[in-house]
Amino acid sequence: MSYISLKNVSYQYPYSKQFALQDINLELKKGKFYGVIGQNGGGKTTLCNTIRGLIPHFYKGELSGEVLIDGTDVRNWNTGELSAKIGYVFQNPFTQISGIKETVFEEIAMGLENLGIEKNKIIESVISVSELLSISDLLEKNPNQLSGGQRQRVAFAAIIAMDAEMLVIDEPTSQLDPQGTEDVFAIIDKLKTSGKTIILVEHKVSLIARYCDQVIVMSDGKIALNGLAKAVLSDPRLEEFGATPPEVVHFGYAMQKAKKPLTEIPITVEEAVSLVEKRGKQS
Amino acid sequence: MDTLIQHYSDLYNHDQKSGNWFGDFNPLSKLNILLVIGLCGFFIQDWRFSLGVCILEYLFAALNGKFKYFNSIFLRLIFIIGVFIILIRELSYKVENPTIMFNLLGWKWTWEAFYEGLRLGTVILSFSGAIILFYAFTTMRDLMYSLEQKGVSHATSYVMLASFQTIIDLRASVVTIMESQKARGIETQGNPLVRLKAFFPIITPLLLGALSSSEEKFVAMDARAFAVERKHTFLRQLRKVPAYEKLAVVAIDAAFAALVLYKLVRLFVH
Repeated sequence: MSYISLKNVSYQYPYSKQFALQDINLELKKGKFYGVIGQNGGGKTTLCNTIRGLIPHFYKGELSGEVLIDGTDVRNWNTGELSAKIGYVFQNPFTQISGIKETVFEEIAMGLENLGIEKNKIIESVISVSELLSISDLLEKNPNQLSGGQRQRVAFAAIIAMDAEMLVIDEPTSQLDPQGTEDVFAIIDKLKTSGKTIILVEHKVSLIARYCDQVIVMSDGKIALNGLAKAVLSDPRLEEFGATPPEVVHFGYAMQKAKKPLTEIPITVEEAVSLVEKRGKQS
Repeated sequence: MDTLIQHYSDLYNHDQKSGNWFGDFNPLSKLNILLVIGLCGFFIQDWRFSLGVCILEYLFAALNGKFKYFNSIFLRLIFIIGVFIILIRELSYKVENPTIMFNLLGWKWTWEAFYEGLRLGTVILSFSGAIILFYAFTTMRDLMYSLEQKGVSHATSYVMLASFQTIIDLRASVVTIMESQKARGIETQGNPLVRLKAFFPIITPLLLGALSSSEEKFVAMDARAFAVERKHTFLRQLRKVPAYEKLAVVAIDAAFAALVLYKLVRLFVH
């Protein structure tokens, strides 16, 4: 059974004549890592807001169709309980800091305090998450005085600490340097290994290719492509839908054009290296 | 990791200590005591009393290591409130047969208006001083925590705390926008008119930005299970109010009640 199920879902923001989502049918299974890509304004964030229940609970507008979260219609979910079930990290690190806590430690602990977790467990969780995200040295700092990248890590840590069954993550690395981005992806991958269901919106397709099980391409509020990462990211129509394939995919097609095809189109550099080696041995 | 766990267990499983005897008072006790001290001036209406309170507030801040904080805000208030009120009173306060202090290009300054300004100015300053002292010795999180323990809702305490932070954030945004305006060659410094001309166009984008970020703030708070209907845990732990602190509050409140009663009786007798 699907963990999240969207059936014929369409949505219009209040006062908007255009559909932000149009006739969406999507089944998300427990324990899988889904990547969402597509052009800006294609409906990625709106899809996240729907899965997270912010639509229709916070963003009113016109929602039609059926959104089931763990078998229950999103309209029947209590918003507080939904926030404990589905963690949400979004793009802007500056508004994700509560603004009311004086140390990073207390900022990360805030969600756990709200959930009524026992004090010693809160302390253990905060320390363990801060070590995971390499922010132990920030614990005593004022969260309002951190850089964008540091805030992004703290906001991410605060959500991970809450240990929700599912995580919806909207561009968590927009303020991070390449190493920081790699670290965050490695952590997301670890979360997936521990059984979490993850939906990640991200423009860095090479990382999506490396980590995600399945990729959803959004274009003009519709799902343009949906399937296994390999199939979607090597689909020749990808660019038509405003998404950029990983560079290594171009290499695969260039090899085909040069009449030296690889056995399949690679989507990661590691895969390309292995396919080239294989081809070299064959010839 | 174990050392960190030990450190934070020690920190949060014991009462929060500020290292200062008055700082360790319960936030509501501090608020009560300082409000009463600040309000006395309004009932006594004598500039000598209010000035004395201001001096005592200065001394109290200095003796308890808060002089720099107190002085930086209070000095500005002396110029903004104190001087302004005296000027306004000199302009507006009229009496028969005034005693002239001096004549400034036809503007006659009188002792009566000066004392009237001094009375009102020192009353406001002594009250403001008490509020500054309160903030010098209290963190907002401890105030909200003690309010929540008294039954104030979680949402109300968040709104109060977040409002303070919003003021700080808005100020930071103004500085950032003004700096970028300056980088674009727009004059942002100089006489008040130039500053006003530079500031006026940024008000609308500033407020719109604040409005849109408040929507994201809601989502962020929702993500932190703010709306969950469960008993919350409080990481910080405040000291149980000791008997001497309760006694101090009761004594000060009783003295204040007696003062108010005395003033009311006098009002009705006369």
